[in-house]
Amino acid sequence: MSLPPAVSRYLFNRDQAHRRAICLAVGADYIIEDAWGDLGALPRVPKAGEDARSIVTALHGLPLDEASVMEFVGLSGAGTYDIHVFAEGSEQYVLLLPSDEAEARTIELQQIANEVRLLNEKQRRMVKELEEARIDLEEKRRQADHASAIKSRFIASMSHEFRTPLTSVIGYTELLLSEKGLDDSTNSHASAIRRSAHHLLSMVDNILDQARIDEGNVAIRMAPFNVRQLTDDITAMMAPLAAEKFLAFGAFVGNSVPEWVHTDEVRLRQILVNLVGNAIKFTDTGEVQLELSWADDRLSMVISDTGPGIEPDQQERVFHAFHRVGGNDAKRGTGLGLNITARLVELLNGTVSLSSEPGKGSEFSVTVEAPRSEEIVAGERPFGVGRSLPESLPDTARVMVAEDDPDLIELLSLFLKRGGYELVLASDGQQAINKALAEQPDIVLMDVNMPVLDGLSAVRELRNQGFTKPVIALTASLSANDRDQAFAWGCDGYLVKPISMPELLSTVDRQLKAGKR
Amino acid sequence: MADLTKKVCIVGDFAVGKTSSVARCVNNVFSEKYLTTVGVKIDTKEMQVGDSKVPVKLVIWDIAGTDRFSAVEFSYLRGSSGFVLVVDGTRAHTLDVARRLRAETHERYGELPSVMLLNKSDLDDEWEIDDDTIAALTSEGFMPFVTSAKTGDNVEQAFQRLAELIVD
Repeated sequence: MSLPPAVSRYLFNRDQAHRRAICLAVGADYIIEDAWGDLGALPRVPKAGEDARSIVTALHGLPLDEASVMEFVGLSGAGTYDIHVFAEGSEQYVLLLPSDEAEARTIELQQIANEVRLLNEKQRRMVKELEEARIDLEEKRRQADHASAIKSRFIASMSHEFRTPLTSVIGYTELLLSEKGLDDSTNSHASAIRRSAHHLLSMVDNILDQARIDEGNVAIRMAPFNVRQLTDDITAMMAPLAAEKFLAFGAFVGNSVPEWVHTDEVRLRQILVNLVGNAIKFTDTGEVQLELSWADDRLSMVISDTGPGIEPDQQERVFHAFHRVGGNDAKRGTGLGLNITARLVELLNGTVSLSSEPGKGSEFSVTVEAPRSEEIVAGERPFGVGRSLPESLPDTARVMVAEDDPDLIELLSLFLKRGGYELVLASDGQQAINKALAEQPDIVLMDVNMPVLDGLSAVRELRNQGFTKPVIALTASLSANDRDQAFAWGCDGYLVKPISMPELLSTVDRQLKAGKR
Repeated sequence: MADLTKKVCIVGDFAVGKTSSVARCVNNVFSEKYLTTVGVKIDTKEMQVGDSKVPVKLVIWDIAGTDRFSAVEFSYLRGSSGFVLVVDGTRAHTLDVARRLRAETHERYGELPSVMLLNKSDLDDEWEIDDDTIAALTSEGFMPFVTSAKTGDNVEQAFQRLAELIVD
């Protein structure tokens, strides 16, 4: 039901007044015929006969002969309108209804919505960029791992390639020097070969160690070990070198030092070999000493010599890589030894310092974390679980040597024969398995790197088939991972080439006795 | 007033810089602050076209950003002699929006002359549209201009070119 005419008129008038509407009656060619409403709101008051488009620019291009509505049309300098075009009879009307208030409300909402959309877009882009960066980093990490693996393989390969022939050179030289009745000239020549071989070995080791440390590939394996055994080994290794130079060498283990401590034996051995070896190398007369003491879970080692000493301005730099103290060129090395030593000490949570007086000698002090440990007995070794051990040592133990290098087989055979052992020989991993199972030697020396079947696989197969005798791995690798793998696959000992006769014989003897226990 | 007055519309996705491009072209000003447009804002720009410098007045309809025309936006485009497509060069997907808007316009009003502004060229580090894509736009029938409403680079030239296309 429609409203009474009076009410309709009232509402119309009220609405019209409220909306400040503008109405133009427009004829052909957009000519204004009449105008009503809030005309003052336009840029100028329209007059009859004017082109409507000159005042309401929105009419440009807009056909007037059909009805249309355009909302929120902002006219420059004249506010925002909803524009209605319609005709009634022959008259065409353009009605402008102000829409500033509605526009302001819509802007407020739309502004927020659009800013949120922009933020979402930005967030999506950032997530995408992060994902791309992650994939990129992952790829770079993969490439770095690959490069590192290649480098590690190279280092392992170089280590093997250098150490295996050096074992022969050093070993045969030792044998030659141990012969009775050598004339002075032969003795001098053989000594020179031995010195040079050790020097070459030391340089190769330093370069490879530096590479390993640089790539963070030095794993530290803390385990219990016998301090006095280590000291004996160092003495066995260093005393001949000192004797050759007519130097006195002594290693002293203080009463405070426990029998067994807990640290990385391999790295500690390397530190001591470096420092004692250096002391002997640079000292021409007098003595070199190694003293060990222990307190507050820390093992201290002092290596002193009566060598030329180091100038105060050089002392701070001796631990820097490639720094070499001046002097005799023949005694120069790679300049890496002390740097490697310092970095290994750090890895063992320790410190190293130098005290030196030119003309009187030097003293290197090393302290590493080494808490007291319980003695390890053979039966507690994880790789010995479930294995039967011989009740007693045979009168003449039979040692199997599995090695593919004929020179090394010959050398090790000579060493072992001098130790009074009988030999069983194999030249590849498969042959080693067959002979070990058939002939049951008392101990096996197994080269890791062999044709047909590698040494560690052979050891694992032997253990799987119930072989219970001790097996010592012979390897060129100083890697802690390789060492761990050797023990995990069933080895009882681990000898790194080059292997000296005393080291070989004492290790074989120790393993046979441990087996007896 | 120029004898020749032409309505042109400026269209594109939201926040691509339509209003800023018009402000740069008409008043030579720029504001860093983003302000959304509701409906349409109408402004005029007088320019001279061709060797004989024919005076032309462009009535520029700056239409609120959209990724697809509704009936309301189509009503704004009625009677237009040409249009300007604006793309945000730092948001590659706004190029797809421009492609779609052009197709919708052509479908509704025929093949009107148009130019394309690849805007925000001042934001080098965030630019997402490579040179090959820009080069390929010409073969798609676009007339691209790499512009910056902020620095004014190429904005005037793009409107000038559109005026020439319309007058020709």
